Amino acid sequence: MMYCGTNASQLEKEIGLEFPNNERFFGLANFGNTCYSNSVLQALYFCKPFREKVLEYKAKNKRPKETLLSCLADLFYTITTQKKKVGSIAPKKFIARLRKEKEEFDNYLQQDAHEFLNFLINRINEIILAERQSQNPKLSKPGSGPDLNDSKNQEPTWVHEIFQGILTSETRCLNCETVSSKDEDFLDLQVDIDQNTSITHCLRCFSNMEMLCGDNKFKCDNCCSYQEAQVILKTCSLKFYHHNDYKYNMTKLCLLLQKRMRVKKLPVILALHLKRFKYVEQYNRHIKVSHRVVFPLELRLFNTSDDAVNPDRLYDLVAVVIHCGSGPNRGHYISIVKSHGFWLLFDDDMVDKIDASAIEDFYGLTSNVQKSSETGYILFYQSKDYNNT
Amino acid sequence: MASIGGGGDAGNSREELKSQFTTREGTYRLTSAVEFSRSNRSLSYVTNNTNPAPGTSPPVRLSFVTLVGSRPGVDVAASESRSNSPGSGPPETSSPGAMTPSGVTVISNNINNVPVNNGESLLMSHNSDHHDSNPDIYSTPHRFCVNMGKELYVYPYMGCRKDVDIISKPIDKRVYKGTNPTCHDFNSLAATQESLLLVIGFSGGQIQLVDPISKEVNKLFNEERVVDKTRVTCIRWIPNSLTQFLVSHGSGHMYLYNIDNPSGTTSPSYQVSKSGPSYTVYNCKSKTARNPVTRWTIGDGAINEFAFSPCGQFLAVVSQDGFLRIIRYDSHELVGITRSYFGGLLCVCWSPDSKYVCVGGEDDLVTLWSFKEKRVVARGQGHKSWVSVVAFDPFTTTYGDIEVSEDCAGGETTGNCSHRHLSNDCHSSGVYSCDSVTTSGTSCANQNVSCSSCQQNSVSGSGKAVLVNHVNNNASSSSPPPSSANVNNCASNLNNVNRSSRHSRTSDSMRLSVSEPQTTRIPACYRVGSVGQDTQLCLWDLTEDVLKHPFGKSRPASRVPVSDTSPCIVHSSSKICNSHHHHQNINISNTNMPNSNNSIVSNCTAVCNSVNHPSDHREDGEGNTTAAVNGSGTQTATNTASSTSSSGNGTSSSHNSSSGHSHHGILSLRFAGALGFGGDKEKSKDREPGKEHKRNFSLGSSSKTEKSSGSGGKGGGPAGGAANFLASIGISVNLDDPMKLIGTQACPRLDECPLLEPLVCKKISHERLTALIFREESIVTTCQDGIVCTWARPGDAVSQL
Repeated sequence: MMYCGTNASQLEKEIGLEFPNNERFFGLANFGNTCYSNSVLQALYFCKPFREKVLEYKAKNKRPKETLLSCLADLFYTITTQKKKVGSIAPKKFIARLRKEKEEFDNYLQQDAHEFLNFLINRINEIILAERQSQNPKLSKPGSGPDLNDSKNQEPTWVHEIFQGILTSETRCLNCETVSSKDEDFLDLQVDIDQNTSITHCLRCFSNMEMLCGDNKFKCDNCCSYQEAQVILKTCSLKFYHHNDYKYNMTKLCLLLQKRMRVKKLPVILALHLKRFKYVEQYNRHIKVSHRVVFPLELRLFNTSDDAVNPDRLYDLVAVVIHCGSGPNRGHYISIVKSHGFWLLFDDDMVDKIDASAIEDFYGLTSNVQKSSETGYILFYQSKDYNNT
Repeated sequence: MASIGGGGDAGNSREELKSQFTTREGTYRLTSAVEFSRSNRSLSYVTNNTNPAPGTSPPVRLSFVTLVGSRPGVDVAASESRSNSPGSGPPETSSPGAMTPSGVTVISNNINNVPVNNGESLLMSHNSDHHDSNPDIYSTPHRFCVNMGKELYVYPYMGCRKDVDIISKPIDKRVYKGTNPTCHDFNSLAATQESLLLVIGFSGGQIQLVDPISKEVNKLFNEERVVDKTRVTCIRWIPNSLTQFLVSHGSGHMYLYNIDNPSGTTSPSYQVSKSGPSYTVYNCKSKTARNPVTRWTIGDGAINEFAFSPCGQFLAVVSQDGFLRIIRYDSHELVGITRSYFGGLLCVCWSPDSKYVCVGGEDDLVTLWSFKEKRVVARGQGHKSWVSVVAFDPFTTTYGDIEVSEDCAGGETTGNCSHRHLSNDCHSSGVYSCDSVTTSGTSCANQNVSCSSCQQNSVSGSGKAVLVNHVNNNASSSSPPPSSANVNNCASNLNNVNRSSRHSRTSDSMRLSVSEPQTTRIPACYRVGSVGQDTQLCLWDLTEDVLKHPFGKSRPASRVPVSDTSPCIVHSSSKICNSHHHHQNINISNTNMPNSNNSIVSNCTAVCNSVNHPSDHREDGEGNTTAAVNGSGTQTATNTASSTSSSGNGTSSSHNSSSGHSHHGILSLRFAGALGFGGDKEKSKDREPGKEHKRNFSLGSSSKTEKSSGSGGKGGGPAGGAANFLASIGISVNLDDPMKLIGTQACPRLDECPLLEPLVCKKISHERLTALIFREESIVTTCQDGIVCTWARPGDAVSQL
């Protein structure tokens, strides 16, 4: 499908009187395969809590040392202070900084939008922590624990306040039946997908337990037995990002126990990553899974734990990063965002108003024939009660 | 080209699809899968860029109609109503502008060339005749319409027969340009061999009225799109009307059209005639009659579907904003509201007795809402994606406590029928459906619990005449020919007309003898089917145990081990309020306490279920002790109830065991419940009277309960308004904030109402399913691919139609 970018004035005309005050719709120029970044940045820009915090950071730090965060703040600030209501700008400084900060992004190759999001969120968090520490060294006690737990010993940053939720994983040893539970933080959830399902269903698979066989043996702390054969993994295995390089990937562990993960604390912004790129041994490469996975404009979680803090939380879909094309290292990223009640499609420097019913086009394909598709890849759900708190 | 596949061959590629499934009553088998899409595809998606991709073309939908033949009553009425209307002569060939049927190719033989038996004799002889295998496909009295992409077909429906090739012989075929048909509805009153009235809605908002048989009618509405530019989401004839139909759009508006009114060329102007929380009804301001007659603005976002209650009085509307709204059609009053767990509601249907409304939506759930209690009574979790269609199966639903005294008579018939149905006597279901018509009609009077006059009417009046009057009174905007509904129903029941009238006479006499509980009463068990985007068909049994489960935290009650259910039941026995009690209450009123009846019933409606009279809470088999609160009238009623229903239990268990697929969970659950009650009775009694008094006081004993029930819709009802359900569930506080609804009876948390598992859950398609229709002899499904599947009911072999 082609999205012919209407030019800026057309868009303004189309939105007409509804055009919200103090809102700007600006496309971002592409510097050679930087659509992975553009799409994520647009999505984040329209995650209101995130934008507000970034602009707040900008307001508080007039002359900061250049970091990825300061570049992002400048970019957001530039957009909000544009005289025109629509148009496009070039995120030159941000991209330059990004390439400086991470080697993997220092090229003109297509990158994975989710990896970029993950990197960006974690890097911003690190920057805030570092700055906090430099301002007030007493706050953290260096060497109090491994890097991983560092954030736990500190007051949460606003990145945590926005994106972080808590998962409770309950583990049952199949030998001694001991149930142990452990809380883990997450900044987004990575979800396996099935054909003709809903994101709700995929999420519900979190709680489902599954027996797997694995080579590794797992030791139960209680009975000290090494269980054979019965290994439990969830159907939707869930990667868990803590810090940048820390991945908790259950599939790799092949535990010999029953395990289920349920959400104990629901984040303000629930970022869901649909695992659309699967490694297929047969082809020796990642292929795209174009399954049709519907995602509602409103979401509540089924897989909350019994002691969840805010299990009733109701979410609105506010942004979707969409992958177009047939494979992970090909294709294109665009994003759709909700702003003031209507939906906009950002395709690099182009902005279009779209009808909410057009979102249907991004659910995926029912036929299993491998072909190019435009599919929702990262979903951003924002809690409805955000404005009330 | 199109293919007719039999049995299990359908779709043998890719993943395995189910070609049969088994329930308590037997095995359903896929007998025919008619694929329209291949021929369709080659035509549709080649040239025109404006054609939407297959993925975004409107859902494939089915409409069925049964010809009533040339029964004099209907025909006269039909022609009268047409000729009476001024300027009715529909333009023979209007110039349809944008939606010109670009090539209305009529492939079929002209219907007139086909020798058919005529009218009644055909209908009456149908059942016995069809074994003679007259290959004439028009001998079937059933027609269906299916839309696919830009095309729309009308075919005879051959039921489970697969020996007849219908695909090459459509009665009508239409191809549209620039706009796609999205939905359609036949007028069942005007369905004869010679003529059908079919309204079609389009993706561009236009509406077309055609006669696919005579081809003499072709009228367009909203042709210039001045009324509404958004897609038509649902279109239905007003019950018992030959001239009026209702259309909903993606814009969130609904419009009432009259086929005899001219369409204005200018965009209509409206004035508010009624408004309530999040809905407004407008009349079209115009000196002369024009279309649309009225406009409804409902909720926020698209209206996805609406459905009239079988009694014709109420309209259930589901929208993208996640709300189900129940509106009394004639007065435009909001009488009920509930919300999805999250996301839009996509589909809605009524139980055959108008007592429950079932919805499905983007929360992947099937949600059952009780009209009387105004609350969500159960949810079903089994779909892996959005639920696109829900439907009650009137042919396997059993009714327990349908009516006051009628359930004595009706119950008997129902019991017999369903029993016979289970024992593979498919013909008995003819009687059964007649019966269900009767009961649904009267039960609508009962729905109207707050309207004492209606209720009295239906209870004390005489049978069907009352029923029809009742419908007429309430569906005021339509002018149905008297008894047309019955004629239609009976006709559709083929040769059972006589039996049904006999039956209704029987129930008349039974109706008057209140205190004669001589018959079996089967516990109510509703069968609901649902299909979804997950390509699965789910069937759900909603048993009495589930329906009676009170609001509030407890463990899910369906199909769980005995140990779990026992406490549930005990719990529910102390707080129960459901239909059961209403009936008992009504019973009481019949004898001597009309006033208290009213207040009690509405009391139940208003607040959490409960507890009006301790005696009312007694479950089946609870025993015979009765608190003397209500005097002897109650005593009688209660005894009646308990004895009838306990025998009902017996029957049901014999059903289960005889069919060989018993549900241990449900069965044992019943018994466990019965055992559990004795122990807990004391406690519940101790607790209840206090509450009861309070409630009764606050409610007053107004005979104007109907009024207050109505005004409840505005959220401004008097504080004592018994049926001010909105206030009672905290909705009037803030409809705009769905967060506040969670945990109320309009949107319970997951653990606050029973969460059911499906009885059957089968993947039956490769594409998302878009239609599900329960017919007497079969279940019909279709999917976005355009494959129409017919699943024969147990015992309905292919040879039987």
